[in-house]
Amino acid sequence: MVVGGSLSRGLDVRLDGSANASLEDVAVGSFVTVVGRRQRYFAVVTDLELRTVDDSVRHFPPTRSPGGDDFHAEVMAGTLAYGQLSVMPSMTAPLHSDVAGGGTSELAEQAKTIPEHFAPVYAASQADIDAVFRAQGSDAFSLGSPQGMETASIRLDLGTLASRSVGVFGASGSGKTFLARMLLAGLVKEGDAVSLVFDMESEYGWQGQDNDRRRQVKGLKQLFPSRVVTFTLDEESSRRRGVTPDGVVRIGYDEIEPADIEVLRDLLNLSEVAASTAWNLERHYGRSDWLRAFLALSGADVGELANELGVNLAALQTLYRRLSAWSRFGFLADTGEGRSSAGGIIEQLQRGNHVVLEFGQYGRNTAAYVLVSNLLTRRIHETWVRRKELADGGQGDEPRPLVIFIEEAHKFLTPEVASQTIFGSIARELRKYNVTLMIVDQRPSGIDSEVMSQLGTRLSCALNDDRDMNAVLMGARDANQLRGVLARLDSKQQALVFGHAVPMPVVVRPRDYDESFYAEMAIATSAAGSIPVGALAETEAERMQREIDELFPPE
Amino acid sequence: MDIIAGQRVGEVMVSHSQRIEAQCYDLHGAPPLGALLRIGSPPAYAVVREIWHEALDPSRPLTPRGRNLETEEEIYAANPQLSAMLTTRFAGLVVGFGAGPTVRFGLPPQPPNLHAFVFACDSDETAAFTNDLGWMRLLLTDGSPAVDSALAGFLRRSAAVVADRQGFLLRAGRTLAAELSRDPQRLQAILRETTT
Repeated sequence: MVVGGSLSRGLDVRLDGSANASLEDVAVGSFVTVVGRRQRYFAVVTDLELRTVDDSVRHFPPTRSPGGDDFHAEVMAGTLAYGQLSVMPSMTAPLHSDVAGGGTSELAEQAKTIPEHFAPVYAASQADIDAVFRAQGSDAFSLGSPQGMETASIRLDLGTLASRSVGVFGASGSGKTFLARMLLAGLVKEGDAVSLVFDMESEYGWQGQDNDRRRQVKGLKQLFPSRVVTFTLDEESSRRRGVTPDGVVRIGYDEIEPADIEVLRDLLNLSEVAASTAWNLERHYGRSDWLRAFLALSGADVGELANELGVNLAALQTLYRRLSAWSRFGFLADTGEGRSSAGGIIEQLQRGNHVVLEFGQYGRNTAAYVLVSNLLTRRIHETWVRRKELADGGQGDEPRPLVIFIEEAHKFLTPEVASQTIFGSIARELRKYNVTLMIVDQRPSGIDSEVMSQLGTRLSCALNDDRDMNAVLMGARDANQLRGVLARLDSKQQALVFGHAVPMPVVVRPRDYDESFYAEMAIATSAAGSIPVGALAETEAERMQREIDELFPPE
Repeated sequence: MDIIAGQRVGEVMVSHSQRIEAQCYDLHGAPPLGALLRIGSPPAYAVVREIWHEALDPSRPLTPRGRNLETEEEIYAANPQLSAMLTTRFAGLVVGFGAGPTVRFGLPPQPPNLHAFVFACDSDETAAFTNDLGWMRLLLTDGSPAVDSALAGFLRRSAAVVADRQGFLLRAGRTLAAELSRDPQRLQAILRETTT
């Protein structure tokens, strides 16, 4: 029952000794329901504490009685010494509304009051969970079950999720990839927003790897053959893996700007001076040709060029050496080609298809990943901004909501470069242009705090580093209470979800990414054909191809 | 001398709201420490807190009489007047009273009358007092050191007659714990005395 507390600090709940409730049965992060006089409160357990009525109990703990049993301890447990929960009430619903019956007349809302003293507290039931997450309806995307309630399920409104930037965090191996893949599958299924996935490890497109169970799992393309288009930077790698990409992406030398070099300064281990010489090069060779011309030079020519430009020789040489490695990037192409592949991606996105860009071998090269994702995103963002502005001016349709999915975000959203990369500005300008980010990262502390604070919804699996945990919780309500929950997540398959898309913070055990999940997604696939927005730009030939693909999935 | 449950054991000699003193009919014939007493009519209930033996006439102190005798019994045999000169008294703490057909815990509106009969309670009457142990508080607030032993004695004897011994002891222990939350040592001492 409730014995104290405050709205800001949370409620103190004393465990009922007579009801045989044990502290060991209550996990931090579980849901409880507090039944007040007029309101029903939904709360999350944020801390557990052993309390004693008097300090002397600590000094004179119960002795074993002469009979050898624990009679003394039994008498004192629950009376002199008892368990106390700290719970944070987040939502309330009027008591008289038929919550158990699933009545929808009154929705749960943010708690602005707290229950009175001695209000009884119960473990939450599925009905309670539904009452809180009811806004989504029973056919909404099911993310997983709340802690300690294997049969209940937490439902997410993916439209809300996609409307603000999302962060998925977790130490490596904590299951963030699976969580992210599940969210993506959900996004494809819901069919409202489109997504562009920069797939570093090639694990989202065709199939992924379950490292714990040593099995292959289906990627997005397998689940939604007609709605997901895969592009690749590394055709050979795709072929080796037996995957036929729908397109190959080339980046033109002319598309790379000195600003891109600045962003990569840390990754390329360049000094500030070396990075800034790129601007000199651009002035010298012209905007479209500087990189190709520079890389075409021989080593000796670089010395002359340094003299000519009046820049530091060592700096220019370093830049030359670092950038020379790029000439081995198979995806760098001559002027002109790049535009068309970026255009291809944009076209697919505008058509309502989701795009997965596989990096193949280049995924292991972070510089390449950052370079390509930054470049493409910039192009796409420009397109979206233009279309959005046109739409605002009454010309043309609103661009589709676009979710750009990036991994290893701390590499290009560090405080130093966040202001320069396109991702930094997307995160900051929110959904103004219908573009949001989904960030997957294992070191959130490396991400610019301004970007972090703009993340609408955050899903965090277990993190090991204190700074990472603080970063994840930055700007969150009740951060102090959530800190304890976050610190005690299981190292696998548990995630704390809080922010825009969920009414209250919740610890979720993500559902299994298995046949039943495939099946649920498959129903959506067949239904997706009837969604008008998805079919708008589909020609007769494309429709036939799609149906063929559905009947005979490409190997 | 064994006291049979339900037996009349003496009469009230001193009566306060919270405490009575009674004199036994027989020398050494007091109910045991912690026994439940029913006193007078309408009945008041008390728990034996203290028992003592003394000379009836305080102006005639006792002297040793057994220097040349083998056993204590021989003293009484050789001095038959002793049983008339000596007496056994006991004190009880009032814990409840009869109100119509029910028993209420707490102090009666009036203390028991002088010369009221004092009975040792039978197990049925005792059971009423084991159902609700809130009255133990009245004992614990008494300053006498003997009261802890009296309480332990009551619990020990009650535990022997109730159906669920462990359950009863646990319930009693928890009630005590709530009262003695500031003094876990005293609690444990009483518990130890109860269970041994």
